[in-house]
Amino acid sequence: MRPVDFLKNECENLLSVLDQTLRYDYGLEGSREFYEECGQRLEYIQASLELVDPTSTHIVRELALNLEFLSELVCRIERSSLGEYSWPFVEEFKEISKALCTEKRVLKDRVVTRVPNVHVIAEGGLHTYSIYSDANKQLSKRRIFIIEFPRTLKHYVLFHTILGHEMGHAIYNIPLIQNELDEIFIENFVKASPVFKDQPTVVQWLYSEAAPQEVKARLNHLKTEHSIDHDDFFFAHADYDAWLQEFLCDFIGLLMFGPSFLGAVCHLLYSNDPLGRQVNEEHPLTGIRANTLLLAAESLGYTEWKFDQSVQPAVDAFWKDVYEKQETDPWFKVISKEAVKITVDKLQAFLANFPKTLYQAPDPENINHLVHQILDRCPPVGYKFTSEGPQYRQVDFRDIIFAGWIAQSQPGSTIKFSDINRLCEHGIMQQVSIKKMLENPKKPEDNKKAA
Amino acid sequence: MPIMSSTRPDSSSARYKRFAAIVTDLADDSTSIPAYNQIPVEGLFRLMEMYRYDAFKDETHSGVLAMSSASYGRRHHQMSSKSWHLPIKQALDSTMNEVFAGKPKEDAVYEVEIILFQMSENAPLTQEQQVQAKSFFSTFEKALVL
Repeated sequence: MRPVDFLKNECENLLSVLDQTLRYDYGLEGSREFYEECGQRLEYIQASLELVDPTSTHIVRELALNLEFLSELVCRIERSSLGEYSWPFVEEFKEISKALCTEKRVLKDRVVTRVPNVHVIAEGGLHTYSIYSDANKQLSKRRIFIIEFPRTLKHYVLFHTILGHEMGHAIYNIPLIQNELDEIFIENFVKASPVFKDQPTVVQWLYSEAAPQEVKARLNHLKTEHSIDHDDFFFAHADYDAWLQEFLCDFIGLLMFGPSFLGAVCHLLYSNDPLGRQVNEEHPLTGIRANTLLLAAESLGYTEWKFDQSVQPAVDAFWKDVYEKQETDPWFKVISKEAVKITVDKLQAFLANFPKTLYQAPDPENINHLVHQILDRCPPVGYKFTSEGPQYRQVDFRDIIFAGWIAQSQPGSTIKFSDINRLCEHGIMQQVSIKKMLENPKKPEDNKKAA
Repeated sequence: MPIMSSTRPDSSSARYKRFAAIVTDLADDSTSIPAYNQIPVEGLFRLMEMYRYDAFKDETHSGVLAMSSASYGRRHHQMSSKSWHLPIKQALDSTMNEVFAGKPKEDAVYEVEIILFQMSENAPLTQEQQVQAKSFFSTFEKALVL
């Protein structure tokens, strides 16, 4: 069998696997759109294999790679199903994702849009959180975004806010958005940072005498075990552009989910790096990220938000927990608060163009009500029973999550963190029904019909 | 250890070369492009967008934390290199000079994008657009050296 014939046979195999993806229940919207997109990609590869000159090795190899990527994509989807992730959170998050990830193409007098396929899967543990997005250079008609949740953290909606950061990476792949984000971020953050303004300055700072012992030990290990020194640090070990993108995406996550994002960062990022001083390839030191995020939170006024006196001690405890991650060693000061403020203000103005993306300052009364519902072990929702009957109101799912973070910081509370997550997950689900009811109020004639 | 190498070389130049050849042919009749052949049309549109905004950082990402080395994104990341786009950008630059000599980049890109947009809608191209599409994409195909 020639390689081309082998690949044609593999296309047949993949088609039968793809057919099986239709059997499962993947979400409220089903899997047909995903099936159609993957089917067209496969058809394209098949048609190309029919036409290709079998001796044209570059093209045959390129088609083989495409086929392999497609197989991997289909198989991962095929293994995942609705019961493995928190679908109430997903349905809300998908709404934001679609608004943000829709490709806008400006053709002088008109704007053309391409809505992506957003799919969700669950696998692995703590470190699974990610959003896979088709690269521009990949085979696709409609782009596919796959939001990946840790299977083990299925109900932990408070942690799921970390996906705001991943959404930053996903939108950065859209050329029009990349261009605008780069303009904001490089001008206002990178150029303003005395440390991150260019690669040599970062290296100088990392290898300086003032660096913490853990950093020195890691750099020494890189030198003795891998022969990586300051002159090839960014060539052989770390990725400067990736480090910068991490800061940018942290800001996007913060703007999207508010203080809840910081709550998730302070738990998840330190889970495999308790001191936050690990020198990684694609991520800057966690301690630096935490410091920068705190500056951003202060700039956005989050730390000044005031709540009812029954809730304020829990809010204070939440911030105290977060500030415990702050690095006070001057070596960790890599940017001024003013520069961070200008950057986040501009990012906020940019993201305001996308509906529902930004987390708005919450109504204190609403948060108070939601927190007390959680502490009473009830799902937090926009519902109150009064002497005039039940009262319903709209509640942003991010307010429910923020109330969850506050409730978990309530001094003296015995409610378990896992229970708070479950209550919030239920709250988000019930709030969807309330939203639908408020959008389509029952008319008196409906009652008559029912009677 | 896997039986085959898991390293995936970047094959973007071969992909765009093939896309360009297909779209050159499709320009003959843009009203009946089958759905699967919209893939090269969309692919070239996205390439023109990257070229327009000089936004070629086109990576899939590995995850919020430093681990997850076994994830799809991480392995997929291997095929990317920072310079994947250089030969493609160079080929586009030379094609632009040859086909749209003297025209500002923004206008030339717009003309190509509007052709691709009409093809994506299965809308007919004018005779002038047909000639331009064939000229642009066949020149681009030749300019991409594998």
